[in-house]
Amino acid sequence: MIRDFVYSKAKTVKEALDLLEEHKENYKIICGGQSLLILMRQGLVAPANLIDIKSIEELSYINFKPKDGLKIGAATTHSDIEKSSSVKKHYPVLVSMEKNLASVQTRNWGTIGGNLAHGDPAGDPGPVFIALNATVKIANSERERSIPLEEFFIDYFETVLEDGELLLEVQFPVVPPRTATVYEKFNIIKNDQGIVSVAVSITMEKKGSSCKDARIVLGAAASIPIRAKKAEKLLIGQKLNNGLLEKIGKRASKEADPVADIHASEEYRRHLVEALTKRMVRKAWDQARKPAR
Amino acid sequence: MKHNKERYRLIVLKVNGEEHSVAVKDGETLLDVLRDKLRLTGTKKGCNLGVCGACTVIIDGEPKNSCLLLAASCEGTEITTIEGIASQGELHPVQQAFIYHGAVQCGFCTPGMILSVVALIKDNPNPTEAEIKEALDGNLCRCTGYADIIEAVKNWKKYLNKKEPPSSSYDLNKFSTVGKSQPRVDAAAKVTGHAKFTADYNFNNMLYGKILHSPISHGRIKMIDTSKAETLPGVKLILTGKNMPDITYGVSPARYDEHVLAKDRVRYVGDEVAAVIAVDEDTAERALGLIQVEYEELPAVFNPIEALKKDAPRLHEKYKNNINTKVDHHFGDVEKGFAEADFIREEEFVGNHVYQNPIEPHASIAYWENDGLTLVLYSSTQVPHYVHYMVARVLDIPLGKIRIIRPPVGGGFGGKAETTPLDLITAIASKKTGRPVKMVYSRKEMFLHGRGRHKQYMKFKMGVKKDGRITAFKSQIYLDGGAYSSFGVITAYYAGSMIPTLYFIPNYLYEGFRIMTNKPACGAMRGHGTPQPRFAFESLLSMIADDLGIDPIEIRLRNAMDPNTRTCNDLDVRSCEFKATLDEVKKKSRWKQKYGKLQPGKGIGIGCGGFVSGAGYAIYRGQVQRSSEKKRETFVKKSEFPHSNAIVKISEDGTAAVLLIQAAEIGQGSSTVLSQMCAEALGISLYRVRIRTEDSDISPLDLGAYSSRTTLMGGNAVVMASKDVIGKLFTSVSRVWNCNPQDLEARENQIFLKSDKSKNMAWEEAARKYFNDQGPLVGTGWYKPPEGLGGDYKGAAVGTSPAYSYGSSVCECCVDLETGKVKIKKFTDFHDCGTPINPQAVHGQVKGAIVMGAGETIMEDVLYDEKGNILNPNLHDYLLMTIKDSPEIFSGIVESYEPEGPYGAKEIGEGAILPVLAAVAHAIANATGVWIKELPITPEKILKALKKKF
Ligand SMILES: Cc1cc2nc3c(=O)[nH]c(=O)nc-3n(C[C@H](O)[C@H](O)[C@H](O)COP(=O)(O)OP(=O)(O)OC[C@H]3O[C@@H](n4cnc5c(N)ncnc54)[C@H](O)[C@@H]3O)c2cc1C
Ligand code: FES
Ligand code: FES
Repeated sequence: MIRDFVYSKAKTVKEALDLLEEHKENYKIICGGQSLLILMRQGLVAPANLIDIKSIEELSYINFKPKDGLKIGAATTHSDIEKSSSVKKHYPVLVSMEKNLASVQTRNWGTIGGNLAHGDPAGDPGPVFIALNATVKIANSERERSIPLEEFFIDYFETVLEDGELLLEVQFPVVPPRTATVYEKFNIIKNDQGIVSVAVSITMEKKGSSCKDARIVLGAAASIPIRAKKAEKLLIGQKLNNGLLEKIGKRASKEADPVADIHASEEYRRHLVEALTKRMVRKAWDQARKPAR
Repeated sequence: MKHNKERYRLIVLKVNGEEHSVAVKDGETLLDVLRDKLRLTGTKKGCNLGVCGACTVIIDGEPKNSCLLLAASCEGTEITTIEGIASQGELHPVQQAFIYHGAVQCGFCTPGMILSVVALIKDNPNPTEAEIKEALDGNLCRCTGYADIIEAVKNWKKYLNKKEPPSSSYDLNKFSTVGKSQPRVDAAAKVTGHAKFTADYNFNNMLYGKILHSPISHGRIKMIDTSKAETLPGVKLILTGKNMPDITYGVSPARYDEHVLAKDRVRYVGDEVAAVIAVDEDTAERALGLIQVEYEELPAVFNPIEALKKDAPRLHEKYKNNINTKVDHHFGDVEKGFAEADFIREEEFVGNHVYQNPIEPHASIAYWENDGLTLVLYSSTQVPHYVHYMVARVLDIPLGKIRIIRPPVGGGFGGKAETTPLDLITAIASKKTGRPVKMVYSRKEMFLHGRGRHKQYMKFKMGVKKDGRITAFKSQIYLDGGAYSSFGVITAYYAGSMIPTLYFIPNYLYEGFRIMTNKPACGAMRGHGTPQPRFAFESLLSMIADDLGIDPIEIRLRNAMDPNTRTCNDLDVRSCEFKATLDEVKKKSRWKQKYGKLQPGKGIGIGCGGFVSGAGYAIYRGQVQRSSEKKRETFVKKSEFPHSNAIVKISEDGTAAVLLIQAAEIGQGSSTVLSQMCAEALGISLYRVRIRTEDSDISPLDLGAYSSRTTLMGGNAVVMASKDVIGKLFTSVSRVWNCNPQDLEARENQIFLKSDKSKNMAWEEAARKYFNDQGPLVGTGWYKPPEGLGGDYKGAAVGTSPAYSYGSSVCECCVDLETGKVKIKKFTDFHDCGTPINPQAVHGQVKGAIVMGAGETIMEDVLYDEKGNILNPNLHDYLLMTIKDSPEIFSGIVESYEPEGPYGAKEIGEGAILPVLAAVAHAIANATGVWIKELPITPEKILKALKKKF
C-alpha cells in the first residue's frame, strides 16, 4: 500500500525548484520511481508531496564535446546512456556497466540522477563515475553548486543533497590519453545488485610503461562507494607485476569497510574486494597499455 | 483521514490506441489502474516490486514494469498491453511462436514476456540468443526453464505469414494424437491475456480482505482491540479468532492443528491473527494498522535440533519434545549389511529452505448463491477437491453445498496444495457480509504462508562391496517443520520411502523426525520430501565411486533397479528403464571424454532420481463426506472412492466431445494431455475435444495436481469414459450395419469396419444418429489405484504408487576458483516417463525442473533473523534464476510402457527435479575438488572449502 500524497508534475527545472521550495521538508522528488516506489510501497518512506521531475525535458540529455567531456542530465534514463553512440565511443565502460544494471524494464524508466540521489552503496554508477572523476551539478531555487561525485555520498542512502536541492547533471572530464577504465560487479544472478563491485581507472605515463594515475573505487564494500587510495598509491609510478598486484589487492581489501548481510559475510566481501581489484587492475593495465583503441 | 475528494484526480490514459479517462489516486500504479479500473487483467501482478516483469507493458515503444509506475505519470504516453498485441482476431507471430514452441506453461509470465519480445523485435527483428536473453532478463518464469521461450523468439519470423505451424520431430507413430507434440489447448488464451486467473475475476459489489499477521514468533494473545479499525470508513467486517469456527484444519486428519485465525496463541511471525474486509484493499490494509493486539511473548525456537532439547519451548502440547512425526523403518538387517560391506562411508548433509515462488500469488474469491446456502469459491489451488473437503469441514456444511472453481493457476509446485486462510476467510466473510469477498496474497504473505520445502538435516551411512554394490544403507533425517503440520507427516515418510526405488538396497534403515519450530509451516514442494535425501544419497554414492575408483555412472548401473521388482520397503516397480537413462546420458554428454579429464574450474556431474506417478492412497480416509459426519476411519489397503473421474459428453451434432474432469491445470499441461488421450480413445481429432476442469458443479472429482498423479490417474479415467462413449456408439452403429460392435474401429473422425475400411461413416454422423435414437451420448470413467498397494508396516502407504518414473541428469559447470562463483553451463537429461503423451510437454517439464532445481542447489534459501523474521521475503533478495543464468539443456526421452498407465504413460512433473540437485553438486565437486554438503552451494561456501583444502 502506498500512502496518500499530493502529486505534482514539474515541466521545467524552475518549476521543480519552486515546488521544492514551497514544500520544504515535506516532499520527495520522484523521477523514474524505480527505487522510490519500492520504499514507498514498503512503507519506509511516506512523503506528503511527491514532485515528479521525469518529464522535464531540459534534464534529459547526453552531450559530448571533445574539449569539455561528457554531460548527462539527471533525468536521462539508463537505457539512453546504454544506447548512446558517443558514450559508447568515448566512455565504453558506461555502456557495459549499464547493460548489467537491473532489467531492461527498469533501465527504460530509471534515471541516472535517481540512481545517484538514492545513495545505495551497491549502485553501479557510483563507483564507475568516481573512477572517471565525475562531478555533479546541484541547484536550489537560489544557487547552483558543483562537487566531485566522490564527495556526494555520505552514508547508506544519504547524500549531500539538502532540502530544496535538485541534482541537475553529471559531468565527466575528457578521458586522458592512455587511460582505461573497467568495472566488474560480483553477484549471483546476472543483473542483480552487486555483492561487491570494483571500478578501476589507470592512466599510463607518456613514455615507458609505468602508471601515471590510478583510481580504484569499491562498491558495496562500505556505507558509500569508496576509493582505495592506499592501494592506488602502491600503483602510481610503478610497473605492474604479480607481486605488486597481490599487494594492491590485499591493500584494497583492508581499505574496505564491508558489513555482513544475507548475501555475504564481511570476510567474504573482503575477499571479493581483493579478487576483483586484482582482476580489474590487471584488466585496466592491459587495456591502457594497448596503443590507442 | 482526509476526505476522499482530495485523493482522486482525473487523468486520460491512452491504452491500446483507446483513450480512457479515469479517476485515480495519486499513489495508484499503472498496474492497478489497468487491472482494477480498465479491467485489462492480462497484465499480471507477480511481485509488485519491479522484479518479476509479469506486469510489463509497452510505453512509448519501450517495455516497462507497470507496478513501479504511477498512473498519473503516464498521461500523454502510448500504452500497449497484451490485449493490444493480437489484431482483428489474428494472433501476432510472436504469440503463435510461443504457442507452437511450448513457451507457455502456466501462462502467468507470458503476457509480460511477450510484450518484452514484441518491443525487442521492433528494433531488432533478428535477435541473437544473447540479445534475446538481454531483452528478457527482467521477466521471470518459474515453469519453463526459459529454453523454449528462447526457441520461440528465435523462430518468431516463421509465423509471419504461415497459418500452419511446422510439425515437431518427436512424434510417436503408434498413435494418432497421443505421443505427438500438440500445442497446449490453453495456450491461445494465455498468450492473449484472455486466460483469467483467480485474481483477474471481479464481481459486482465485491469487498476485499487483508490479514493481520503476528509480528512475533511465539506468544499468547492477551487482547485484541478492533474498535479503532471498525470506525475507519469503508471497513465492513473485522474477524478475529473469537468469531471464527472453533475447529482445526490442515492436511493430515490425525494432525489438523491450524485455526483459521489464531485462537489464543501465535506460533510464528506471520501467523494469522485477524482479518479486515473493506471496500478496497487499501482501506483494508489501513485498518490493519489500527488493530491493537497485546501479546504475552513466549520463548521461541528456530532450529529443529535445539527444539528437541528437553527444556526447549514447546509449540503444541500434543507434540512431545516438538516431535510432530517420528518414522522408524528397518528393512532387512543393516548391521548385517554393514558387516558384509568392503567399504563404508558416512556423511552429513544439510538441505535448504526453498520456497516454491510461483509467479502467481495465491488468491481466493467467495460469494454465496442467492439461496444463501451454496458457497461459490474461486481459488488458485492445485487441489480443488481437498479445498472442497476442508472448507466443508470448517464451515460444517455438506460438500454438495459448495462449488469450487479453480481458474487457471499460475504455477503451484506444491505451494498451492492445501487450503489457505484466504479460502476460508473469504468463504466466512462473504457469508457474513452477503457480498463477494476477494483476497490476494502479496509476495511477502506468500512467504509467510510458507509450505516450502522442509530443510532437512541428514546423516547417511552407506556400505558397499568392492565392486560398488550396495549392501546396506542407513539414514537419519531431521526435518525442520515450522509451526504446523501441513503435509509434514507425509513429507517425513517420503524422505525415506523413495530411497529404495532407484537402487537395490538389501538392508535399509531410516529414522526420521519432523520437528516443530517457530517458523512458517513447511509443506510439499515438487518432489515432496525426497529431493534433499536424493541429493545426499546421490552425492554419497558419487563420493564412494571416487573412493573405490569406479566411474560414477558405472556404480549406478551396478546397483540400478530392474523392472518388475518389489523394493525392500514393499513398493512394486513395474516398468523401469533406469539403466537406459544412464546409458543415454553417458553417451549424449560424452561423459567418458570428460569425467576426470577437465581442467580445474570445469566440472561434470551426475544425479539420478524418480518419483511416484500418483500417490496410492488419498490424503483423507473414508468416503467423500463432511468430516463431522464420519467416524474415525482405520486405514485399509484400498481406495474407498475413485481418485480420478471423468465424463465425456458428445455435442448433439456430434462434432465436439466435451471432457469433464476436475484435474487441476496449473501449468503442467494436464488439460492438454488429458484432451489428447480423450481424442485418441474416441478416434477424433484433438481440436474436437474441449476440456472443462474448473468447476466442481460441472466436472467430477479429481484429487488434483500433487504427487505427479494427473497423467496416470486422470488419464485412466478419461480413457475409460471415452471408451464408454465408443462402446455405446459402436453398439448403435453395429445395429445399422448389422455387425458386431467389436468389428468396428474409430480413427480420424471416422467409424469403419476393421475388416473393410471402405465401409465407414463420419464420426459425427454416428453420434447424431445415437442422439436421435437414444438421447445424450455420454460416457463416464473413473480410476482407483490398485488394491493392496504397499507393505503392512506403519507408514507403508507413503511412497506407494501404480508406477514409478526414472531419470538421469548430467550437469556441466564452470566455477571461478577465485570467487567461488558457479556458472551452470549445460544439462543433459534422459527420463523414463512411460509413453510420453506429449513429448514437447515432457521436455517442458524437464527444462523447468532443471532450472528450478539448479537454482535451488546454488542460490535459493529462505533466511531468518534471530527473532524468526524472514530476511528475504521478496524477489529482490530471494534469488530466482533469470533467463541469463539458465543453462543450455538437452532433454531426451527413454520410452517404456507402463501397464498401469493410460497408453503406457507414467509421470514427469515432479520426478524431473530429483536428479538435478545432485548433478549440480557433483559437477561443482568435480570442478573444485571439494564437496559442499550443505545447500545452497553458494560461492562463499565453495571458497571457504577451497581455502580450507589448500
Ligand atoms: C529490480 C531492480 C533492480 C535494480 N538493480 C540495480 C542494479 O543492479 N544496479 C543499480 O545501480 N541499480 C539498480 N536498481 C536501482 C535503480 O535502477 C535505480 O536506483 C534507478 O535508476 C533510480 O532512478 P529513478 O529515476 O527511478 O529514481 P527514483 O526512484 O525516482 O528516485 C530515487 C531517489 O532519488 C531521488 N531523486 C531522483 N531524482 C533526483 C534528482 N534529480 N535530484 C534529487 N533527488 C532525486 C528521489 O527523491 C529518491 O529518493 C534496481 C532497481 C530495481 C527495481
Ligand atoms: S509485478 Fe511488476 S515487476 Fe513483478
Ligand atoms: S509459464 Fe512462466 S511462470 Fe509459468
